[in-house]
Amino acid sequence: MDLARVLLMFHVIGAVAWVGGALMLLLLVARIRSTAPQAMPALSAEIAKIGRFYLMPLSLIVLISGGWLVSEAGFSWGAPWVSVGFTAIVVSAVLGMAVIAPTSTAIERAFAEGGPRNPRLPGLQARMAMATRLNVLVLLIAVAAMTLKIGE
Amino acid sequence: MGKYELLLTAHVLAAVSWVGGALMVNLVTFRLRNNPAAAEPIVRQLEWLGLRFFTPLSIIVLAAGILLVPAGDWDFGAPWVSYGFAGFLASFAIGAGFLGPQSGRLARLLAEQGAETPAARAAIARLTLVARLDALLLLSIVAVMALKPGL
Repeated sequence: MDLARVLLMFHVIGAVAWVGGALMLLLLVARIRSTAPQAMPALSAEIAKIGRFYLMPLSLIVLISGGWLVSEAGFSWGAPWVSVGFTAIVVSAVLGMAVIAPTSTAIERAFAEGGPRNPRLPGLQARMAMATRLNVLVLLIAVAAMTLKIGE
Repeated sequence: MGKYELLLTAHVLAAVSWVGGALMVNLVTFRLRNNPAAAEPIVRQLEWLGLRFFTPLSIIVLAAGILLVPAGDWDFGAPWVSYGFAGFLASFAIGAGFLGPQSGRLARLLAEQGAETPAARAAIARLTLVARLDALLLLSIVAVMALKPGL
């Protein structure tokens, strides 16, 4: 078993947990918002923590193992499918830090201050939904580009 | 971009959504284990997720996986291919035989009694334990598929 296969395993497991996890959060939020909005504050609080302590480390594992894999397996850094992958990680990290994490915290605070009828909530939840949808879309496109190896 | 790459993309995208989603459901329910009021609506979603999300994805993973073996000149007898199919069958049996029916029963129990009764708490604990074992099994399949031992 060579190093490239071990790196690929970390890369794939990290990507599975990260991308599939982000997609599931999107689905759970949509379902809970429509069926049990009273559970949203607790879920938002957990999402903020999950983002920091689960999704963020996973994105680093994917980034590091991916970069190492490019060198180890002799892939070209300029290959379109490699560039798409790295661009997606950067876009996702920026979205996570600049929009998703602060909005999640703001939702939690708005619920704590004004309950589920706080007038700030619809705007915050719409922003969160748009950012997470965009994030998941970018990540799924990256996974597809990696497996299709576009441009090769 | 050929047939093999398209099948692989379908296989991987479905596996990512299925396995990563299962891990996330487990993580969220584990994190909310001491907050039954918040965990209850999520546990109620398990039946819906199982039927409308996880089952179709698992079928895509299986169908694309079967088609990938001849398309990629792989061998059905290779250890990593056999492990993938055996793991899928085990996970399917766990889902159809336990997780599906139990999540339906649990949803009805929660609707009747709420999440605070000993019976509901025991049912949630049982369901989440088996769901965790299933997620670990799925994760091991992903690892074996990537490592391809015996190749």
